[in-house]
Amino acid sequence: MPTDPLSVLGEVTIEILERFAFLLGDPAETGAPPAPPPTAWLATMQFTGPRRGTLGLATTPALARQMAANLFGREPEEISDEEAADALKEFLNVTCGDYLHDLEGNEPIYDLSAPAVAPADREALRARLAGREQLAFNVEGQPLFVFLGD
Amino acid sequence: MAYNIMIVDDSLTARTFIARTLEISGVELQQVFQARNGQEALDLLQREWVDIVFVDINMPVMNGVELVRRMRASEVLKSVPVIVISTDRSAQRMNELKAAGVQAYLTKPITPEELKSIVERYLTPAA
Repeated sequence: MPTDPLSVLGEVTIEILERFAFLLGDPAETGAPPAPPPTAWLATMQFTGPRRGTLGLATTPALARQMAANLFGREPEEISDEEAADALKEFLNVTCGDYLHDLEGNEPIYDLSAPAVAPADREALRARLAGREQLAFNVEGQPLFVFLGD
Repeated sequence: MAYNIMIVDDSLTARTFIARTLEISGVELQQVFQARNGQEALDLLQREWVDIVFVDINMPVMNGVELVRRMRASEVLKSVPVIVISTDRSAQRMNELKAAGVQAYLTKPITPEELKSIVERYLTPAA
């Protein structure tokens, strides 16, 4: 099991995509991350314990809608913005729990904040990702960015 | 035998995921009640009989720990099995919840096999 936070986060993200959201994700090729989409949804949550920080993800509304469709057993076009945002928040919540467990085991106690989702345009997303430890994935043709911050 | 089940979680996605996973597991469901927090769950439990409650820990208004405490203090609800489904995996928190009266603790994302095993272990038939 890797102990590097970013490596752990990468493995957990792919696993939760598959087990929770029924989506297949591939890491973007090193040195060739996908371009931030013109319109994105940015989800973040804070964790407090032996480590403190923020876990965030950003993706297209289309992927959030596909995620919700898979989870709810409906077609993407039947999914409301509220349902898609809720799916993205729960995906982040589950990913955060698994990430902290795989990184530190069962002993530490962490307090997790409620996840929040907000829209972000390309420039806002670039600014949010700049200088942060981050990973990029291709999830069924859509970009997914996952990042760690203070 | 079909069962009455309650799912308590502030996330619509989590509630839906658990309900769908229960369906996939092959457990026969009579009725699935959903509540967004512990207070809503208590209000429903005063009107409806359920065989088992699946509950998250972190919720607004009333969290899962307080819900379990109130259920265990109630003559009517104290014997209803409560299963926590959470992202929190700390051993200390699991032990605290079991001491408070939680029967079992599952971590998200749960699988149909886990849910079926729990149901077979704890459920009694609906009246």
